[in-house]
Amino acid sequence: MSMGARDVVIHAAGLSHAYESATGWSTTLHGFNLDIHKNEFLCILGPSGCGKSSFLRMLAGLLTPLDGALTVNGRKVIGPGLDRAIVFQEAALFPWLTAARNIGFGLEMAGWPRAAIRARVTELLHTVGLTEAAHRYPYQLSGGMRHRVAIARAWAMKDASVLLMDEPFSAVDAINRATLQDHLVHTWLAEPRTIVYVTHDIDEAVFLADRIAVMTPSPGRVGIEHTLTLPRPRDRDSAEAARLKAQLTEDLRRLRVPIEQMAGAT
Amino acid sequence: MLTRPMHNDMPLMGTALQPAMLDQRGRQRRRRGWQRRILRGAIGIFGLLTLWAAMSEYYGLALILPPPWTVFHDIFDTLTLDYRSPWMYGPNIYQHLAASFARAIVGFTLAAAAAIPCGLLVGRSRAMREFLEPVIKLLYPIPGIAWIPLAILWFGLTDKAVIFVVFIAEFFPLFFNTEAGARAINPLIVDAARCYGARGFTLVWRVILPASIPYIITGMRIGLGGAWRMIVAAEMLAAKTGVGFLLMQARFQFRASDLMMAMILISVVGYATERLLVRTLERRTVAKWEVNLA
Amino acid sequence: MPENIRRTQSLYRRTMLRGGMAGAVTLGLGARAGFATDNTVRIGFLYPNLTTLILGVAQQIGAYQRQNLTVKDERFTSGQSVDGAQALWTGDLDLYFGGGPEVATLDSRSVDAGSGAPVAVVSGANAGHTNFVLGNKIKATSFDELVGHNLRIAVSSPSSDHLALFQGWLRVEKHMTPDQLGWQFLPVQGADMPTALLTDQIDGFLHSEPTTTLAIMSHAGRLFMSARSGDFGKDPPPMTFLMGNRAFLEKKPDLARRFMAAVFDANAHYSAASKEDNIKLISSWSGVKPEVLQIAYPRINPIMSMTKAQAQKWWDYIGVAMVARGEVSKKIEPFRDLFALQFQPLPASEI
Repeated sequence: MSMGARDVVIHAAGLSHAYESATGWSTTLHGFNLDIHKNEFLCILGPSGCGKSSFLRMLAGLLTPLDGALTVNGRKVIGPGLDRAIVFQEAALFPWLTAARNIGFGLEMAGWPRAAIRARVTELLHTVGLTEAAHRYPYQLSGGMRHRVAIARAWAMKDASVLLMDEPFSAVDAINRATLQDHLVHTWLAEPRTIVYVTHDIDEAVFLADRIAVMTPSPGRVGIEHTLTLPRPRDRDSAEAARLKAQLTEDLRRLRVPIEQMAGAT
Repeated sequence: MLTRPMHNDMPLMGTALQPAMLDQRGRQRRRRGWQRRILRGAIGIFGLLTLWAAMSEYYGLALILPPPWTVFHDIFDTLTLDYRSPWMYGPNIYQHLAASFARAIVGFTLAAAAAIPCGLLVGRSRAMREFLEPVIKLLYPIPGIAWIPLAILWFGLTDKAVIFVVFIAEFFPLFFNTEAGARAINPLIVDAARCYGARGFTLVWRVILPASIPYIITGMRIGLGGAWRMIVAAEMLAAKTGVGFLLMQARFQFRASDLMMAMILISVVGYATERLLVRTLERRTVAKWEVNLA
Repeated sequence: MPENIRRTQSLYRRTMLRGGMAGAVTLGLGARAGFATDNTVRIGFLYPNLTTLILGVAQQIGAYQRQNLTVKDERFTSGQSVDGAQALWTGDLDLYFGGGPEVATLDSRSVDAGSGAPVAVVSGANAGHTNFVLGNKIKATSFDELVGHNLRIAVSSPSSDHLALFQGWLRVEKHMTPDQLGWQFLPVQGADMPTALLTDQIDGFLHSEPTTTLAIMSHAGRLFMSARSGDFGKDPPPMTFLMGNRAFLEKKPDLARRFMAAVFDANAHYSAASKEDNIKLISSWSGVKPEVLQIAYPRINPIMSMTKAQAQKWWDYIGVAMVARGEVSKKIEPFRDLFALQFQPLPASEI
């Protein structure tokens, strides 16, 4: 399951990036290294502003790092591509398209024939439980439903071996969030792919991930990695889960301290 | 503390929340809604007519301010094509209206064809903005009326001159609004579009354009009013048909009542144009998607 | 200074001030209302314009002074006769010289609305001054060749007297309506016509002098037809009218008569003077260059005089055509409503 093939599909080495603002230059990533394996569910955990979203945008091809190497499936990332599907924090649906057309958008761009698109979209609507909402416009959908459509849009991309998710449920209320998380794992188990999931929520990371990479804010890089062996479907309230959460809380606290002062820590 | 049981399981039967009752309420409210609107609108217009009639009586100069009933009588006569039409030099009122309307449509279409792509381009491309914006901002403050002599110089005293003036009047509001719309697009939508494979022309046609439609519609609406006014001004100089031409003929024959008739018809046709062009587009796009300008 | 003297002085000052203001206001209002002495005539006319030349002659030779008249004038530009007629009707002017068809249309609207005709023709001038200039690019030798072609012909305004004459002639001699011609009549100011012809914005124009000569001199066009030569009917009547406000004519007929006497004085002077003297005068009145006037002279006819017969000719030719086109009301009776020629110093039988 989470132990799929061990080949590395995403390789990041020495990524660095900074941006200029009114107050001068701010570094987002500095010497960022990470390897992600095929069909792995990897969570990047970190506080706000540590650069995790920047890394995801680099993976998506929306941001070019100032330094370092980044490859996906062996190819250097130069721009957005249909091999990587992304889900943003806001649903970012196209308001002028129905739910069905939104989901099928990427496939239209990829040049799929109409019948095939329709079939795939119907399948996905069923998967996310929105079959009766197929012809509704985004304004007619609730927040949770919109997020489900956004996920379906990403998941529709059959040829996208990598799924990038940037805190997709942070804007959703707690009740719906749990449902959506269940859904995600369920779908991933049925149709495995590599997922890079960015979050600041420890509970979420523990529930979802095969591996958690904890980021430090400055410099922006991976500080600690944990590999989870908890069986799926995960129990949110198990003792093991609680222990892991405590560990991660501690990690986050420690990593807030700049790296220069962490001389003695492992 | 005494806890009262919650009667959440009360049946809906016999309460005001029955579906049939709710439907009826909705219908009643909607009907009262437009009845009220019509009534209030009518009162407003009636007030205007009363003021007009009073002023007409007071001044007593039928040649300067004819009373409303004279004007409406003339409108009726003209619309039913009675003998009065000879003074219009041949074409009847419908032909004049059609001539003006046709010029409006052509000018409007040309303006849209030019302004929308320009606006989208300038809104999304910094290079295009730096090239084009100074030029456009230089031309924009020139009022429509000032373009008329130039139009006559370039196109002669023809239909083309009138269409050109309409084009200019419509172009600038539409351009600026389209540009604003293109700049106001949620960047996340553009990111999503790019990530899902939209590039170049497809990006503009399938994403940027629909996303900018609310602003484009506003621009159209604003421009249309100005364009219609310009038609009348231009037709007074450069045409032998059309409502502007009628206005001028009426003036030179001291026909005050026909003058006012022409003005009323201009207003009605202008309103009809707006409903036809802009409202239709609006209904099929913005109203359907329920997008509001932030 | 003792108190009571000061008070008297200030009272005296205040009275003077108030009296002065009252007097000024009265005079002002009086002047505005035309409540002037019985020797003032307020006249409007087109200027600078060759058609109103006779007034310049009258002024030059002191004809007004000889009649003991004070003439206040207001000037209008080409194509604005509608404004002049309106000013006449509202009483802002006593007389207006310029235009022709405006009298008929204005009186028509008033007669149709039930009030009488407020404006009347006192006299007319510029008989035969209409010229049809055709652009040199148009190759045609007769009028019939031009029928049916989409020509753009300029006139100074939709109520231009040249246009009225042309349409009248069309109806009487050619039995056609303007529609059947297929031409387009466009409003262009007289001064702009030669340029518009040269730049091919129009194919021809209907106007008088100096427009005609200017167009010929700049090789933009040629004189195709002229009223003076009888191309628009034999013995063309006077085309531009001296109109009077009927209330003024009724209240002060003596003033009107004296004014016309002054004008007839000017008529005599112009007819008797040499070409050179006249050209000098015309040039200073209108600003047109003497070289142009040398050529245009034969086509200039500023004499103001109109008999009943001529008025009838005008009505038969032009008035009736306007009725047919719907511009003039069928209720109009020309000699009851439009013409009041009796103020001219002509034998009674002719007016």
